[in-house]
Amino acid sequence: MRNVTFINFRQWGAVLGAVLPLLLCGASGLLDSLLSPQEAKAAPALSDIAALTEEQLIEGSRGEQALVWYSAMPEPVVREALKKFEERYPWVKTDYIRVGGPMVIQRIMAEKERGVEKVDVFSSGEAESYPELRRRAYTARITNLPNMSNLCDWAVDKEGHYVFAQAFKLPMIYNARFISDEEMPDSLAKLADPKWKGKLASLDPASSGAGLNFYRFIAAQPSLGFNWMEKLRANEVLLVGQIGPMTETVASGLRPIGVGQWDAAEIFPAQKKGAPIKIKYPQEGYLLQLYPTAINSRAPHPHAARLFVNWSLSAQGQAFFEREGYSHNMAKGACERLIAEGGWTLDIENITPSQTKEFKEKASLALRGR
Amino acid sequence: MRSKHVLPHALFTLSFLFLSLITLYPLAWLLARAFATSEWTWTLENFRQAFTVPRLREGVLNTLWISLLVCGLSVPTGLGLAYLSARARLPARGLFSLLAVSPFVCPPIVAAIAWTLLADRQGGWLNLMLKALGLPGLLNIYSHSGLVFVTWLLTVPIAYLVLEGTVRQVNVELEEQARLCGAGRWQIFRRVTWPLLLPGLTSAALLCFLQSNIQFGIHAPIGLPANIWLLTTLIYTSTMVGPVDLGMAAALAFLLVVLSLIFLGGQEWLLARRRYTVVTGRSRPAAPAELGAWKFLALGAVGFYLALAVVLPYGVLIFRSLKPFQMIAIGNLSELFSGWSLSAYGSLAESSVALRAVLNSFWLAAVAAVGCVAFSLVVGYLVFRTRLWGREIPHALVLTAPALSGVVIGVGCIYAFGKAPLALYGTPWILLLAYMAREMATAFKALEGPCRQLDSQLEEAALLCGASWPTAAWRILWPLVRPAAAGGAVLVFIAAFRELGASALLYSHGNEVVGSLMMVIWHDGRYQDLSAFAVASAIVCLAGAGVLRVVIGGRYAAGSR
Repeated sequence: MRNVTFINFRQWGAVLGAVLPLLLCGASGLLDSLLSPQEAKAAPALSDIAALTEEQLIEGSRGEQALVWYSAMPEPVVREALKKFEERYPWVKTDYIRVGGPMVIQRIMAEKERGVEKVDVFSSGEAESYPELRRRAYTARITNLPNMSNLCDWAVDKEGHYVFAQAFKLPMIYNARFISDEEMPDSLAKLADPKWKGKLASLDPASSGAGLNFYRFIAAQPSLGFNWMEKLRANEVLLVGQIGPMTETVASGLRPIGVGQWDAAEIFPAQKKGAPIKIKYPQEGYLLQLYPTAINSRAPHPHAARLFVNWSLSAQGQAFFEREGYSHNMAKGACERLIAEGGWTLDIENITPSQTKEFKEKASLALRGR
Repeated sequence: MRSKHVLPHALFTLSFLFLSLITLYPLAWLLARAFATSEWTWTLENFRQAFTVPRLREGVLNTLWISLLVCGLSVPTGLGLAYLSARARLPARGLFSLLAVSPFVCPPIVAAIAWTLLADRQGGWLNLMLKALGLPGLLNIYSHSGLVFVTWLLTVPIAYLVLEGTVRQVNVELEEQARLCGAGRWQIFRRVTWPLLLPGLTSAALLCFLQSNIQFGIHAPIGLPANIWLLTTLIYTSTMVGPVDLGMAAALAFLLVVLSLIFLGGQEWLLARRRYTVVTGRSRPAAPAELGAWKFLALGAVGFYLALAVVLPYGVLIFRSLKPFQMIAIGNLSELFSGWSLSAYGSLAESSVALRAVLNSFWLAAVAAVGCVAFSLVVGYLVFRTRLWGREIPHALVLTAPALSGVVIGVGCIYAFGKAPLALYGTPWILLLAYMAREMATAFKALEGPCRQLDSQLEEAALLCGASWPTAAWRILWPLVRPAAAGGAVLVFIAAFRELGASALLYSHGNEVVGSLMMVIWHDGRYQDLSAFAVASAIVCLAGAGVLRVVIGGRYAAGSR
């Protein structure tokens, strides 16, 4: 038996010398052009048409017959929405990938950077990534969809590349078996009282996009701010990394009160299933989490993608999401109320990555103490 | 004799090409991305950003000391279990392997969830029970000790499976000769047994270290609420929350690779100075030792470990799978035992996606296990029995990928296999390659100890007697490495079956696997469904691991000799 060592720079040099040129060829696209079958370049320039009609989309989608949606919305929501869509447009066979919000963006970015075109429509709560996706020309302009005018103006990207087809309020929630309606405070500020020590859970601004935005809302409230976050820390708030596990934390009673949780898509469906959770909208108002949806600029099924987004913006689509408790209605006439009732929205177009990094650190410090 | 010279070269070429494909190719893409913008123009900006991440130093130091502590706890525990399984006469020894690996079946995220339900300071069951008994509820899973504890529970089976083969291979004649020469127990252990165990121990320690480094499934749900920052959580919070930044994620991920390579180099340096050949033509296996009264202490210790690693977490999962929503009694404890329902299992049985996920995971994990063991044997043969130029390269290739977390490997695989020349994205084959890339090191490290211990005179004797090389390998070498191969295959099978990160990023419709489905259910917060799925898939996984162990390990699998 021989004694060996793998640290041999000469041999490694030889290997890297052989592999690196191959990699460079791959990265530069040389290998692709030599070995890939000729792909259908450039989808029909639907974005360039001034105004699309539903008939055009239907006609085009009959030829495509398929749709792929990457979504971070809860799986029952995704499944039901696609079922409804298929009922209306039965020739389109739908397919979805449900992963967490950051992973939707990760998947899209990795695919697009490599030139892979699999997805048609994508929806993720990581809203801050959408302007970057648009800058990279990964998203298509969709303001020419017939139902676009149904939406509030503020629910559409100024350059027309994404829409907020869904929205959720982030109120306070509580487990009604542990906390009575009367006992539950009606404002976030009151949760700073030491009597709630050990009873609170919140989304984590460091590990959840929704949590990050919720604490931006907190920081923007003069009566709350970073001072309130520090008081929450003194009350030993449990920081939860995901929306779903937050529901479980409160429903199971591990922490009977939660702050900053989606009402629609999370709590409404959980209540329907019998979860002992109730909602209280705080006096200070609430974060209105806007949920962006966009279409791949080189979608394999561009007509079907637009047909689906168009359906989700329609009165019928919006009513479906609202009726099932999956979203608040974003149609004109309804969406104005979301703001009027105390909704606070984040202007994702005017936030730089360094501002995000700084805020995340500051909020994390306030909630964690170091 | 010509074939004798051709075979090593053919094996070298085959293993080099395949291992380069599954490890170096995706890693090279990741490295390229770390030095490039999204438009693939070269830049150092990703590294500049990565090195300004707040708490980076704290994350690196925490990762190091927590992983080292986990190693320091897991390896002795694994060694103790391996010794009891391989060398001691204990009742139900045949069940030992199955029980000892069962904690590994639990995906880290599920184990972390189970322990947060058990040992949360406010509402954890164990604390509530302590309080009901009039004792202070002192357990707090959201702490350094909680993090080390849960990681320890999940890495012990790795140490056990790696060491079991090594302990079995220790030549007892050497110990007996030392005893005849008048050496005492401690002297025999220090001068004979310990050096013989060293290759296996270092392999086990390295694997535990690598595994502990990348347990995002434990680090996130326990470390983040406890304000304990590790490299995995830093990568996630810095590059995935707010705008997603793949370049910086790739740059940070290579810090983990560098950390692992340092330890890998340390292991090689430690082992390169000695010879470990102990299985020669004259060796015989050890007879089981009588433990006398110590038997009860040993059984008690094993029982305690299994209670912590299996009974408590799976108990709470089973309970959670039967009870919608409520976990904590408010007044009367009896309310906890009412309203139970099998509805989660009912929906699981009716779900075609769940069934498809289990079947897909089963075959992918089985193929990955057999493939990893086969390639590890080839690499072991090249490294330890030939003098081929460059034989250490496949060895190093095997050991580079597991330093990366599943999600990072997933991104590398999308780059590498997203388009021609190897357009596998959207097929189950990309999952298979990702699993093999991650777990090849596990199989190799499980086989490394026994491979180092084999003397070449065994096959040379067979060749001199006229046997062909394949006959000698099949009749002489294979039976000797079989127990270790079975251990390696079981580890790979379980790890691939329950893998989460890469699965979630690479799965596609129709190719769902257990890991991807668990991630979906976890994200949705459907803990009752998650618990039911975790329990059901653990049963399938253990059954599969048992079958694999018997098929590959043969008679050794049942604990007989």
